[in-house]
Amino acid sequence: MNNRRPLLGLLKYAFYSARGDLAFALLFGLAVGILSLIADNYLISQTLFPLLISGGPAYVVIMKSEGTPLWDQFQVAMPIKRKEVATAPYLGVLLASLLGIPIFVVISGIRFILHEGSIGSMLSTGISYHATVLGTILIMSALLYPLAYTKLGQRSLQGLFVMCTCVAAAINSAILIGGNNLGLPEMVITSLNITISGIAFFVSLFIARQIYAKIDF
Amino acid sequence: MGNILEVQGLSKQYKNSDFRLDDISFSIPSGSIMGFVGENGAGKSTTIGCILNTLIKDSGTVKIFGRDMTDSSTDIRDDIGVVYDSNVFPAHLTPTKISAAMRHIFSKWDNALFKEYLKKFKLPEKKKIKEFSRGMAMKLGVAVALSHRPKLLILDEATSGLDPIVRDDILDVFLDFVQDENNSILLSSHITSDLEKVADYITFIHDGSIIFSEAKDSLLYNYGVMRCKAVQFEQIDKEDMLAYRKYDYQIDVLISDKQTAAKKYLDIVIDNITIEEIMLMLVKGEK
Repeated sequence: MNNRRPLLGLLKYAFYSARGDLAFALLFGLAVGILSLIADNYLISQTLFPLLISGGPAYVVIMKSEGTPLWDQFQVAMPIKRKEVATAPYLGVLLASLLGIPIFVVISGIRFILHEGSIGSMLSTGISYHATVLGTILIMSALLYPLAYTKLGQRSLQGLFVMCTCVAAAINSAILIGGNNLGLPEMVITSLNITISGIAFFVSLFIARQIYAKIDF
Repeated sequence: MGNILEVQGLSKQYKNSDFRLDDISFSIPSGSIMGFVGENGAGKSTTIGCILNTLIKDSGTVKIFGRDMTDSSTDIRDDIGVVYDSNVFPAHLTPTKISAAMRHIFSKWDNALFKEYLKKFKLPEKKKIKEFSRGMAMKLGVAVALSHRPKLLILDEATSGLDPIVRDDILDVFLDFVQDENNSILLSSHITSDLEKVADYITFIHDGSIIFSEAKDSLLYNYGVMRCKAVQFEQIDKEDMLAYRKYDYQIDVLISDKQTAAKKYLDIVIDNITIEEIMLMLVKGEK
């Protein structure tokens, strides 16, 4: 029994299922990053690139996790506790959203070398924006999964995903704008954003685990 | 010979539905195949869901290997193989990738055995499941269910919709599986010919209740159908009849003790009966 690691097994399912699209999302994000270096375009490097490199893989893993209609039922029939089944998609989306960070760091590093004079503030803005994207993903997951486990979700994530992403983006933008209006330093706003998003994520995970323990599959 | 599975007083009512699983009780002895038969919507899948804890039961007990089955009983489910009536695996996976994930989920996952089953069923290791036919996907489900060396196989309509050749292949594997007297199978199906071929016991569920749960041989030996004319039908004691069906020129009467009936009703023809006929008489016949 000791060699069983069911969460790892479920994560493998999620990532194997999404593998081709995941690679495409990362390569596309990398291409946009390289484009931003060549074009030296502020908008691409500070907004579009972080969005694609973090949001793309997360989107792919969420959408590919729908599986077959019987997959949820089959997971619970295997030697996996319901709470572990509930936790797996949260971990999956978190890991997927972090996959692009090495690419982000490398592209940002090259940018620093190429444009040393002005890169300080640009890098700071980039990190801040990247954190906002991560925050949006965390809040989106926080909203998405408990809904997906109820009848409202009907086990279909497509519609819920769009709705939850819009709400999460609005919440994160509100934190960003609110922080700026209060004159808070960018680092504080970024930390606040990630903290609030992280708390929402873990509260949601707790709720989802409670829901999952009581529902019929 | 102990029981590998014991279901006692199991009940389940769905919200917003009139269907109710009512006081279900049956057991499966070690080394045997239990055929679980009933029409669509009779409650077979609900019973299996409650056994596996994918559905939360309202009352009753489910004991597997002598222990209560709960969500935390992962060690019990580690010894159970489950096959549903259609493919359960994400379409983009290959059998190789399924094995790579399963080895973390089942403590006794045996990749070499899995490859043996793939070879036996002529399934490609590196082809995506979305390219599999239904028969191939079901064989893959059986291969996965057997490759962690379970002691109990639970099959929910796993052979329905398959051609006779594939069904025969799979049934042969099940018969091999119960050669080990520590293993048992719960085989839910409405293909009664499959059950007549492999089952040792038959449990018949209708409208959420168990009608009977008996050894197949005893069922086929004792149950019979009396072919009567209207006058003969009037002579039969009501307590001897389980059900009857009226046709234009004949009335068929289902009885549970054809030896006694043969002595009691000398002028009435009594035929042997198949499980399908028993099921039809009990479901569609009058009482």
